[in-house]
Amino acid sequence: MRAPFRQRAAVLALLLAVAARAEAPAPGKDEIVVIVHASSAVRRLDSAELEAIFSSAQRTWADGSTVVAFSYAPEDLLRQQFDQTVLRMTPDQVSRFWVDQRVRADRRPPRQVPDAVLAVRLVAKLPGSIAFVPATLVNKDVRVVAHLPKDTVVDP
Amino acid sequence: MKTLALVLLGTALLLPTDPARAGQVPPENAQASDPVAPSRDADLDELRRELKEQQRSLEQQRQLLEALSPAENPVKEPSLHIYGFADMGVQKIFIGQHALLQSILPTTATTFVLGNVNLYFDAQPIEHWSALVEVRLTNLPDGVDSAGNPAQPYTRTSTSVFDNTSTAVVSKIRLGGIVLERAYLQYQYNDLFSVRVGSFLTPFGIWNIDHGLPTLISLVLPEFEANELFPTQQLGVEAFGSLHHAPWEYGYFAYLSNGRTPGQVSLTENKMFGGRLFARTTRPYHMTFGLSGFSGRYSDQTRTNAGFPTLFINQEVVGYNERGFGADASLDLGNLRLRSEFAFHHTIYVPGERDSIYGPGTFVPDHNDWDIYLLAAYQLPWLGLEPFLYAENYRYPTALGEGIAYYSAGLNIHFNAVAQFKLQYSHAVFDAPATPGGFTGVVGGQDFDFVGARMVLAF
Repeated sequence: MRAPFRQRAAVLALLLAVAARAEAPAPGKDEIVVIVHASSAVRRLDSAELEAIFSSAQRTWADGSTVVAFSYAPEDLLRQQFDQTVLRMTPDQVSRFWVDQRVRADRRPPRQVPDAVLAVRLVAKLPGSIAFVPATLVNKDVRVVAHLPKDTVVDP
Repeated sequence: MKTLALVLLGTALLLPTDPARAGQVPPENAQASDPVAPSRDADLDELRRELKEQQRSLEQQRQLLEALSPAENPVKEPSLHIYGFADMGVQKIFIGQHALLQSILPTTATTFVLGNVNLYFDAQPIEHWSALVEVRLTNLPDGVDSAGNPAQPYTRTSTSVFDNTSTAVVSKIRLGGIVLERAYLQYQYNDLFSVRVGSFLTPFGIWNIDHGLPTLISLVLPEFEANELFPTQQLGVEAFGSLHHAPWEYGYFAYLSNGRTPGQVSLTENKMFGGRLFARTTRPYHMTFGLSGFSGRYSDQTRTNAGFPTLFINQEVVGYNERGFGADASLDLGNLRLRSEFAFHHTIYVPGERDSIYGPGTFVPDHNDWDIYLLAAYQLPWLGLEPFLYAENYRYPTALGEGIAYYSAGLNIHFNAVAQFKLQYSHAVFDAPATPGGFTGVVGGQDFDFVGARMVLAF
């Protein structure tokens, strides 16, 4: 016996809603997202690419423009969570990493900004910039290229 | 200027909130006689809130401008960073009384030492362009001595002079020195291509680039560094870059330089060229693998004034061709750090232009010398303790022996990210000489032991 049209439509709508939710999960309350300037050609970044950028191993984008990465003070909890997830380092290990880089004169750390609100405004204004911020601060002027729900990195 | 303008604007906007401004503050008893006073107070409160909000917004804009300025107005705000590191401590060498190495050791007594005091001046005045100067401050050459040959007198360098600017009449000071570790200008086009010109560290291996005790694991320097199988620094031009193919990074260095020179300039048109290829990743572990090489020609010359019309004649007194090859690997397996480097050096002299060794009539033969070490360190979960083991084998045939082997153990204590204590014991064993009757057979064992400790701080 065939299901009535309304029933089938309701099931279809439910499936579509589930699919849509799976494709673009709503940001969690404590979720960190990585944002770039809205004009950036970058659509998504995986954890290895994020690590290369935020450890300053990668300093230019594919189009040759300079990567302007923003981070926060070492004691900032948002930064510590990000470093733990992406760089896979404790705050002490991160500090030693940058000391090593300074002695070698190899890489410069990302520029530090006071808070995530400012980071969002900077990324919205500066082409080539990238930052990690709480998902709740994202607006239409920036593009999300990675989600960090809980100690992992997933595509946007 | 923008910052200043915004601050002034913010201040100006806030001024009306000052109740003391003449003509705007009602008399204290005005409220009783003025029926509209309550609503006016409410308006003022509202105005204050708005102005405070504007002030907050202006402060955010000021911060924004400050953060943006290096990128947006790079010419107007040069960026210069000064940082560095220092190490100092105590050491002692245990060596036989008749060992020939005594000739270059001013003492075998326990002595405190001032190691490195290195300062970096790191400037990026504009996007893509940067400059780096690293200097080492030292008390040397004060106190450097020479035991020389038995027939020559003992000499010691003293830089001690009277300080005529002192308020004390007989005050003395000891002059020190500045070692220019590196100084270069750099342009970065993109990750694939950067170029630097000036004096730079030779891109080979691990040790030569790490080169500072905050970064190095071991306190004792390997022989290929001490004896410069590869020149440690180059004066010339270097191109470098890397390609990211996550999770790997593949990179290169290529340079053209004066090579080894007896002074600051190249005495011939022959230049040294060399380079390095490396691959590194952080997944699943931090790993780096590298290959390095160079080729060059050394020339030392004397100049003679032959009179008119020839005037000055340059004559090469020492000349040799040299090549070097190196390989290195580093691997971090969790708390275990493994490092290994190999360096090979090949020297062929021009006939009649050999270096002198051990005195008149003795000359350095064409030779190969090579060195390899293996280092393993483990970071314990307590108190920042990191014990390590080190073994090295250096092959350089001399009258002292066919080579030398080092067996060493040490302990690093990482107090925090920038401060650490390093302690190391090293036992050096000379191999038997290639020729019968070498110095080892004549004057006894050359083996020695070294104990050193250093406090290290990066700042």
